[in-house]
Amino acid sequence: MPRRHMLWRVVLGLLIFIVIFSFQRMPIGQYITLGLSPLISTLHAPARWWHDSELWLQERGKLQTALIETRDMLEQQTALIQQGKSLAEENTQLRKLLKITNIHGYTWRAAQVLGRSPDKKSQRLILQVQSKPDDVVVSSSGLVGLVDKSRAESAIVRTILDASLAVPVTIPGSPLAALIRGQGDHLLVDFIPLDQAPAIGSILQTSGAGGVFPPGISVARITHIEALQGRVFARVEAKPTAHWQRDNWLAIASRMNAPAP
Amino acid sequence: MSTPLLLLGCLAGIIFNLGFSGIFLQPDWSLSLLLAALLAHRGNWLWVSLATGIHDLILHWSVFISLPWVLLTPIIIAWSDAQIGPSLLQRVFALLLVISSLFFAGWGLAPCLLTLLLCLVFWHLIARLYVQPA
Repeated sequence: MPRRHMLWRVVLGLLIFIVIFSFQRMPIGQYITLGLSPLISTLHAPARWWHDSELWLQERGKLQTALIETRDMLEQQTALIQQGKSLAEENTQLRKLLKITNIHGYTWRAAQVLGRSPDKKSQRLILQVQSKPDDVVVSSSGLVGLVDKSRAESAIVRTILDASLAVPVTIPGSPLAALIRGQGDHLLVDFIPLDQAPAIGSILQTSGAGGVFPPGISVARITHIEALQGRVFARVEAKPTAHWQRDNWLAIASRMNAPAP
Repeated sequence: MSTPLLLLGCLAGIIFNLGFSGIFLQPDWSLSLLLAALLAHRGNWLWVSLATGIHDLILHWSVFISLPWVLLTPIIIAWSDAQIGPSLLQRVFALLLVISSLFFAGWGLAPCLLTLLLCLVFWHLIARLYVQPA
């Protein structure tokens, strides 16, 4: 092949790389993924139809028992919601009396998992839910991540394994104030002095510092502690307590606006 | 097989990857198709590079996964074809190079191997379209 052709190809290749790299600076990937979410939902349709059609083949007695149980649960939840509303009202009154305006409440709802990124490192999720950026996503066993981008009925979630997220954590009843950062396949816990390091297996919970994450949610279990020579803080590694790889439903917490002073 | 059809196949592959990656083991459908198109005919490098860039942006939010290697592939193949003559050796080397980028991006060994095998099948099928009768 003539050298001129080769040079032309190299230059064009570099140009393509620069153009696509400039797209990377904008959240193009996130927007395309959000645009694809209706197609992903359509792809899931046969599985949903199969699940729905299975109900026709189940025994009527079993279905009636399940319905009664669900109704009971619904009644209990309605009572709890009512209680929560009255408590929230009382809280608002107290905040007004004490002139506290910076405490935010959270509203919780369920979200269906539509898709996942295939890599083992950041494991981003696509949820079918109305949400806004920085809403907190939680599974039954712990914190999953934050909503990164949202559009109409779908949202992309950055999990805590992503290096761009930092979660303030603590151990309940201790003065510990640390920060968890994603490292792809595990988590690093920063700012833990060696003499205050908790035992391996301890569960770290969100401290609520910064106001993004509600306090008291389990985040990670400590797996490794290592003293580093000449450093004040220990190197602490952890694993997320949440297992979102196979969960079909997750909970999402949206921050409510602070009441007007 | 026309280019739009291959691109449509890639899009379907990306949707499959996003929709079912937590449910069952699967290869990188779109990358195997793109790489096969490139190995079958290196003149496809322009649209394959662009599509790989978009593939990387959607699945990894970064262009530093497969795109640099896919851009290098036609250069490696053209240069080595000129040096040692056209052969499968340099193409298989390029194939392994690009697939290994998935492994370093956090894909498991099994999906990488599946991608490799799928790419070999697609390569065989697409290459048949470029065979000229003697």
